[in-house]
Amino acid sequence: MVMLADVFFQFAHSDVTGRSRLNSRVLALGLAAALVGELVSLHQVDVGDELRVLHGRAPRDALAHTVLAELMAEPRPLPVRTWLAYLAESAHVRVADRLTRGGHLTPQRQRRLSRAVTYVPTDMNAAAVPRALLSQKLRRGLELEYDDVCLAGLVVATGLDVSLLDGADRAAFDRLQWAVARLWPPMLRLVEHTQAAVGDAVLSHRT
Amino acid sequence: VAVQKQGNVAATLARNRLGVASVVFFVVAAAAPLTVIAGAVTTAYSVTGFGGIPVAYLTVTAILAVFAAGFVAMARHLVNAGAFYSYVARGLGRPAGVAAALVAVAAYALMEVGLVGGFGAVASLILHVAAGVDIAWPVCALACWAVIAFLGVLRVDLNGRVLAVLLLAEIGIAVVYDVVLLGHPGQGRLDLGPLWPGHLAEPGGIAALVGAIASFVGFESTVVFAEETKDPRRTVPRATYLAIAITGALYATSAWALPAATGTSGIHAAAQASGTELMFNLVLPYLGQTFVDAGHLLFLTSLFAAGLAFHNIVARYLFALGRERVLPGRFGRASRSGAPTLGSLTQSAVTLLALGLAVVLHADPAVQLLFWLTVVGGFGVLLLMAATSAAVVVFFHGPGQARGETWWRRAIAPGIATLVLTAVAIGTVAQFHILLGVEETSPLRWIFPGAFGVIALSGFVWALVLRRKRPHIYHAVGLGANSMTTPTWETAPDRVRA
Repeated sequence: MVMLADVFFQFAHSDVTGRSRLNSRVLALGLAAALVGELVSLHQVDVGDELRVLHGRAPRDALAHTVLAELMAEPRPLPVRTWLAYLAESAHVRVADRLTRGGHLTPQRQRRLSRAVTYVPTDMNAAAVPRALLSQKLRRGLELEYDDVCLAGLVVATGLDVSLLDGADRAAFDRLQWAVARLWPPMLRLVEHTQAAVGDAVLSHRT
Repeated sequence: VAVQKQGNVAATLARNRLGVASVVFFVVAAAAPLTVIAGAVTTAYSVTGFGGIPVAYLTVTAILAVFAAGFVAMARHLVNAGAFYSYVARGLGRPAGVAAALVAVAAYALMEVGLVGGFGAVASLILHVAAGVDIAWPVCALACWAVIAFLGVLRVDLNGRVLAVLLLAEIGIAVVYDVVLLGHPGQGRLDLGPLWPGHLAEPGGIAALVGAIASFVGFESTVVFAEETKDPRRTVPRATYLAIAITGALYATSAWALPAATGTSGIHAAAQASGTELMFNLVLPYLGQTFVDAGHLLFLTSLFAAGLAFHNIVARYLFALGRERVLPGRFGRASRSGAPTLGSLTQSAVTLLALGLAVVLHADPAVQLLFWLTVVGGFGVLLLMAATSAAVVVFFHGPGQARGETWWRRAIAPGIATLVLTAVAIGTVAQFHILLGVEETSPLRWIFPGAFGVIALSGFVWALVLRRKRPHIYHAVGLGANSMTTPTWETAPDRVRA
């Protein structure tokens, strides 16, 4: 099973160096949304203005299970934006850990004496696949699967679409917008909340 | 158990939240006290020849405190709106909102041009006085412009601690200067004359209020941080009132200290002779060169910080309008560093053009950029505040709309603010020539306020065009980044599966 947050993580980082293509705050929000999105796609969480747990059955994936447990631990449903802000604090490390456990990433210390870690793809080609695939599908107007559109939604919300469709004609952008606008409603609402959170992160930046 | 569990999300989020002090710091740093005291106040004395500047500052402090009551009350009910125009859009309708947005962009953009030009003038003067080096003001202004343009696009974080230290130093040195000046009154005793409210009835009295309002611009950004504060319901109001009170007290005292030192009758001539050096010249005999040098340096950092703050405000407005698609969507894109790139570049280009124009027209940077443009920008903000107050009254008006706010906050205070601010705006238009220090027949007195009218009208018309042609965009006006939560996607031809 392909996990949304894993794919988005690979998408948002260079397949060669592992460097992020996004501002750290935006990346964190995108990954947080992807973690929620995994549960939405499993029909276990519904997205309105708040996140509501529909089904408490334990997901197979350990990380999805933990996130669901955290959602269920709150006595009252909290707004989507609150959850995005909360999950954004830990999303990067958690998703990177999951990809590392699966053998897809190798943590590398950037410099000696530095604690900053970069996660470098174990297999460059494999890491480049989701990005290349979505890009080609949009450029050529091929049919998009549900998983593709979920990813496309997060790509639009975080502003990655510009580099994804760099040099593509207007029609490719239109296809992207068209597909995302017809996303399954709970997923679409998640995408919209993410996009709003990303915009607010820019607006409320302190200088 | 439930309490402990609920603390999990809340506690994690609370760790990075801002307290009252942090918000006040950000806001007052943008207002840049030394820019106002050494720059705006001295130039106001020399240009307007009006003696009641201190009482103008006190009056504006009171007006803003009343304005803030309704403003922060509405901020509690509009989630992360954080800009005047979203309040206006919500209260007075979307066309008024777009008009307000464009007026705001123009007003803040003028402020930046004025401050960058002012930086050039002051840096050139200080280099001449302190080091004997002669560098033309446009060169200094260009350097300032370049650094702001650079920081605006790269969004390099200026260290919060550095800003805090600079701000405290600014306030500290202003207080020292005030104490020295008030302790050595020019006529042998302190003259309370400049504090007499009757001054406001004199010619130029109303215009002086606008100059004072311009000095406070920036305090309204407290609400931008609402979502990041520990307790938005309390933190934002407290920070707003505190910022107004601190700056108001400081400005009024400093504005009073100058005529106290020169003698009330001598202030106009002294200000015209020394310009922005007036305060430094007056304290030099008592404090010595070191204190003056420190003051000079802080004056420059203050001008720069204020210029950068307004640059970012403009870029942020353009970004929000781009997110709503009121402006082209490209404005709503951020760079990898999180900077609203296109808005920032646009504002830099406009500032450069304006500076170039000032050079071509042989403008006096201290008077015609630093004073005129910031005051005209302040007039634009005055219009925005009047519209915002009216919007607050409408927002809370009607059965079931009180939303738990008191009568004072939702009706009386914003009602008073609307009337007073509108009256000041009308009075200002009548006295605009005094504000600018030009002849009564000068066309400039109509051009500046008239420009805001044209800008507002074009915003209004643009909103009506959007309502006809792009209703989905029209409906998102005023939502800022949250416009994304209503579908604003443009539908493309049905060819995705072609």
